[in-house]
Amino acid sequence: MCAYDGAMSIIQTHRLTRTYGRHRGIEDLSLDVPRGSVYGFLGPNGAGKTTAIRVLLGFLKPTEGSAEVLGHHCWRDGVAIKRDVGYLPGDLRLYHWMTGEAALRWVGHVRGLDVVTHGRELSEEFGLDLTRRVREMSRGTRQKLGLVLAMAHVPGLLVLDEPTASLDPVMQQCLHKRLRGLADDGHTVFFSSHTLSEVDRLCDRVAIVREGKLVTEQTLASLRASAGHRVTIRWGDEVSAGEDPPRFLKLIQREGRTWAGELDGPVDRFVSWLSGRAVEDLMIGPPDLEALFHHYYQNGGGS
Amino acid sequence: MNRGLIAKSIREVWPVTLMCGLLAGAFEGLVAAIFPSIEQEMGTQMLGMEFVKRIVEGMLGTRIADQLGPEIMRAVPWAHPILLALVLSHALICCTRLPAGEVDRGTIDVALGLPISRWQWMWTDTLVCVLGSIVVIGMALIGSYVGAAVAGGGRALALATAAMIFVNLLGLSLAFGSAAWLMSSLGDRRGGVMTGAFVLIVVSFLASYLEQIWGPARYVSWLSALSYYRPLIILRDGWWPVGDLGVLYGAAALLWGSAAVVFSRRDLCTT
Repeated sequence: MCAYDGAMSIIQTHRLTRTYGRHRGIEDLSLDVPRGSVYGFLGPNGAGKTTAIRVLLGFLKPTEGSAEVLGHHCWRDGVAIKRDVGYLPGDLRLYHWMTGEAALRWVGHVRGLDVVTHGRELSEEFGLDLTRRVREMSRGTRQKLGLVLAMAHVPGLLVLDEPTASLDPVMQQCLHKRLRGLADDGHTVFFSSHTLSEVDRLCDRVAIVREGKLVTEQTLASLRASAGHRVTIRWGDEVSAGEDPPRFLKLIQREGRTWAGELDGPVDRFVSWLSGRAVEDLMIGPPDLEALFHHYYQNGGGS
Repeated sequence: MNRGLIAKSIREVWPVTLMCGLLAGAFEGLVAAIFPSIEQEMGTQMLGMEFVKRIVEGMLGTRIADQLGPEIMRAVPWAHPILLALVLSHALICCTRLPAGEVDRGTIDVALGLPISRWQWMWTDTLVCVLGSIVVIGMALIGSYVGAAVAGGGRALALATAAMIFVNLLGLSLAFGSAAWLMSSLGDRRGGVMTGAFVLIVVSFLASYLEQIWGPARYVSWLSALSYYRPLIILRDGWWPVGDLGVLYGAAALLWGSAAVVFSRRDLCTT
């Protein structure tokens, strides 16, 4: 029985730090990735996402702190970790002389498992021609092959570094469906991404990093709850339009009798505040996750 | 050892092994076939000239002095720069694949994402590289026997002598290969690593060569691995060059061990 069997956390890091000489990689990163979740790891370019993944998989040695993946130490027990991990690198490059089929057989031989059968099924699902050589494949096709190689042994943990980069929208949808299915079956998916819509659609939990540091880590539901609703009000009279806005409404635009802004807090408080005032027209939009992400990316969550 | 890794390494190494082996075999065969016809003239006239004698001494890595005899001419093909270039190029190409070659072409991330320990990878690639060197030197020996058979006159190397030259040349190949491997373990760019290893070979060759024609060079020539590969001594004395073999194989083991330790402990990823 593996050390992580039954444990709730698949990845656990504690103040994980990795520096490159005087340059920062990641700093004091503490993560807790629950089993069976789709975990989004977000951040702007150079935030340290890939560095964190490389430390977790034992490519890079942590400078400070600790990390356990599937119950194993990330640096010392790399082989044990990778037995049950499927990994897709961000900048995927495969042996150019291999065909898709040869790559699948090679991975099977290295792992000592029969991955060809399931790999062929996945290839069919992704519309991938396994007879072509890697050197003849487009970037998107190589990415599909990388995904097949990472998923063919049905790993307990799938680590994907920007998996949908260079995939077409149909393939993206197909991948999302497959990842969701894996999570529903108890597998864990840890992926980094820039595409907020896919994070919104797919993730149970997200962590946002900026300049190597963790900015926030929470469920997508709580993130949604904390995201402000976009509101637009057209006042029925000049008196109301001339008032000061309440503290929980951040005005972005104020033009004549029209206000546009973002709510900070629940909608009912806003509705109560509106009652008794002359409102001609009112529009309340859904929580704006994108604005929230941008806020975290740019300000690190501070005001 | 891992079946998948062995298959991958063989697939990547066999073209260069076959090419170097065929060229080495062809060279040794050709020389063995045509040398008897010019041997007499070379031995009596050319080696009588002091500067030619010095050049041959430099190539053979030992003083000829008054030992002029048929074994000198038979040793030349085994110390010839063409053979050394083929054997050492093979070692250089094979031994810089891991990790510098993998990092350079960006495939290290995929390979390290699989459940293989770095030591396992190192052992597997070492096995393939050593087998490759054996094939190249073996093909050179086969070429020599074929050439001697074509020339006739029973001039083929005795099996024991061939075995000694084989083991000595393999030691030289492993010593340079291990040095290249250590450089590869320390580097990320295969081009730079190969350049460094090539410079090492040239400097070694120069040190060993200059020793015979310029006295002060003897103070550094002991550092050159080529000083411990002396086919003339083997052909002349017919004894195993135990000391030379000890130095070459010892250096190879030390350098390989250092390369393995660096490889197993360093950060590795596509840059």
